[in-house]
Amino acid sequence: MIGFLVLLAIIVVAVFWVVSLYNRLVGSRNGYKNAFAQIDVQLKRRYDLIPNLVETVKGYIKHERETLEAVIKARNSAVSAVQAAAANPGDATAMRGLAGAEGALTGALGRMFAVAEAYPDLKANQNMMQLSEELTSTENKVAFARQAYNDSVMGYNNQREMFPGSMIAGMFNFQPAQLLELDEPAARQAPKVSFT
Amino acid sequence: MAIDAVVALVVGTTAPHTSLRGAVIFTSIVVAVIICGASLFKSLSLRSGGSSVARSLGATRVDRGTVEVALKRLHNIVEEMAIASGVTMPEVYVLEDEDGINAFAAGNSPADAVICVTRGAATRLRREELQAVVAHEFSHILNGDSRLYLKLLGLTFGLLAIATVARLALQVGPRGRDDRKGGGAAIMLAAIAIMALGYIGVFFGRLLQAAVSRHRERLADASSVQFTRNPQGLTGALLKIAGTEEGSHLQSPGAENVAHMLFAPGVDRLMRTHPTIEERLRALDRNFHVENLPTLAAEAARDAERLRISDGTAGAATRAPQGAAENPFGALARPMALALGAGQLTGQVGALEDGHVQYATGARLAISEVLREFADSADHARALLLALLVSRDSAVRARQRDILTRAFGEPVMDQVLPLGTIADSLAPELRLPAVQQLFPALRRLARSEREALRDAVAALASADQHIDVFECCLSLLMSAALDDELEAADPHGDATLIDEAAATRTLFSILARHGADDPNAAEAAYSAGLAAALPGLDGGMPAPTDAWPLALGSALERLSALQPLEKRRLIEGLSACVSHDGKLSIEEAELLRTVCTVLNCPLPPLLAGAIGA
Repeated sequence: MIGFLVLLAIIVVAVFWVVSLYNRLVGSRNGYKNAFAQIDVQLKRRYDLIPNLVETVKGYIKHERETLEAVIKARNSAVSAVQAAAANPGDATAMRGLAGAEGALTGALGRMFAVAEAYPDLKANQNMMQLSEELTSTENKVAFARQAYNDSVMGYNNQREMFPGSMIAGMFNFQPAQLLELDEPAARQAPKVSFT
Repeated sequence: MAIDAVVALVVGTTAPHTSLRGAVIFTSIVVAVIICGASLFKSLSLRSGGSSVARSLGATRVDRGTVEVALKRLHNIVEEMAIASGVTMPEVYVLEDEDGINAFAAGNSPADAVICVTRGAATRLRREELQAVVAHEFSHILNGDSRLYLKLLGLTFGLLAIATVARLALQVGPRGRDDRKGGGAAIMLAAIAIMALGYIGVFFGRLLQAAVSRHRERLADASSVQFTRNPQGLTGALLKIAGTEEGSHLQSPGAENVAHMLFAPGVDRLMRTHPTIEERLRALDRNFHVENLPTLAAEAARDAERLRISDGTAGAATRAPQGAAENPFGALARPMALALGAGQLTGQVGALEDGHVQYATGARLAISEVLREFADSADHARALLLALLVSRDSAVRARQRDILTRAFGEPVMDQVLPLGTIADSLAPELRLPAVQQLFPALRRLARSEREALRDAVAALASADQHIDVFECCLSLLMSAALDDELEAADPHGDATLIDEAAATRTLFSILARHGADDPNAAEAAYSAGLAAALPGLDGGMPAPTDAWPLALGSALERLSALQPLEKRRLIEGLSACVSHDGKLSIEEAELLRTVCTVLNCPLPPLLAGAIGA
């Protein structure tokens, strides 16, 4: 009788243990998915800011139209690239296309800010100061969202691969998650926006 | 335990026949009750949410829409760190009068947490440095340091209560017990012993508290580097604190309450709540040499000074034109079209075009330059709203002054009257848009305050025995904006125009009378409008009445239950009515804007360009 009760208790504890491990895995899987959505939001916000920025700069910079046109062109191709990537997120070419477009946009923006450096009026413009602060912040947010995504992917993968979580993960078919890395060297270097 | 032993000793020597065990159990219970009760009391009194802690220190809230670059940067940085740490976005506060570099987080859970930064930190730190400081505070929120510290504080307070009770017994006890000399002395001795034990407990409690706090600070520094992936920012901020004269010192007397949540010590204490700056710097960089600290700190201080100067000049440059312009709103081109083609208005309802956005930016800039401070705080917004209603006629003004004093008292009165000049400088067509900017701030008022405001507005408006269009529109918009939230109604209903024919007629007659110069023109405008909205419905225009504001209010109440498509027809009719004489007066525009807002079909301001064709 006592032996049976002990056995029953062990079984109950084991079931609870498996359930809690399973729930933790599900929780961190949803966590990294949410973190990925954050990146997308911030990228789009960045694209929305750029036309305003160009509009402000245009009023001051008369002779460097091609710099501004390059920014707008890069922005538009980045927008279509992010739409393509959002349509099929797993697709490697779409992701590479997005990374390339992002890199081109970052480069064009960097050139525009370099040109803007030569116009003291533009640098003192309240609108310009606000916009460049917004842009810096959004770029930071993209970076931090990616960082948060990679952190939660690491947490999830650790849970998935370490014993005893690995048993549960194997049983319920939890797939490994991929870290997000930008391969383009240009995209790695966000332009340092500084008006101080 | 120690206290039990003392009591046992005293009881044992003075009253040998009493049951020792009973006394020990009794004292144990009393001690436990005192400690628990006092701890609970202190914890409850400290339990208020983060925003009330910040406000008690005199901090002001930083809104998302702030125009000042330094504060906008601060808000952005907090958003960034919220993303990096995965914590919900806390409210942001700034301590305007503190020039030292410091920050704190408060609140019991991430949900009601706030982050508060001194003005010095917001302006004298570089972006990456401020980021590190904010990330440090996020660690306190994320790790629940506030709750942990609250528990420790409660326990220490319980021990303090024991010591205080013993001291009271010492002061009161001997007088009442003169008859039993031996017993009195023993009880005095016991009280001294308990008091000593209590204070020793408090001492160790404080020691423990400080040790825990220092430990959590190290954790927060580490998390800050983890969130920002950049130890340079934290190093820079710490060096600036070491180098500047104000350092991290806080002047506010309430600073003691948040000492354990600060970025760096804000008040001098016997037991340090933070590791020393040298220790923290060495933790960040193993190769840091203490002898380099003075030079590095001096350099950082120069940087801080430079940043503050550049901030100051930028501020002065933006403020100068505002002071120079006589009428700050004059620069804004008048947005109202004075010629209006029929039927083009409905397409604009709810439609935001580039022109509108630019107009809004322009209007917001023109309005915000002056009104920003009013739209940021509920008190100021209320004062300006009331000022807009104060009459220029001195007799009426005296009556309104009485109303205001009765409703809100002298202090608010003194706030309102000086604003008269600002209210007068507002171009008439910008009055309603400006008022609408104030509503978000007014929504922060408590419900009872909002009701008092509504009553005061009604009283002010009727002080001259006459309600003009602006006053009527203002009170209608106010009840739409401030009440809706309390009793949220459906934006649209399922009534038709035929069902509400009487209300429709009333509305058209009011609009037609306010837009036309003579009764005949009004009649024509009325028929034109009604024909567009409800063809086939005939019958004369309702007779004019003095109580038209009331009639308008009840008509709109009925009409807001219309189906969306019926509202579209109604607004088409209204625009036909308004544009019948080819002119758009300010009163017509105000009425139209109000009607559309109350019907939940907000109408952007009418633009010259949009209507030209």
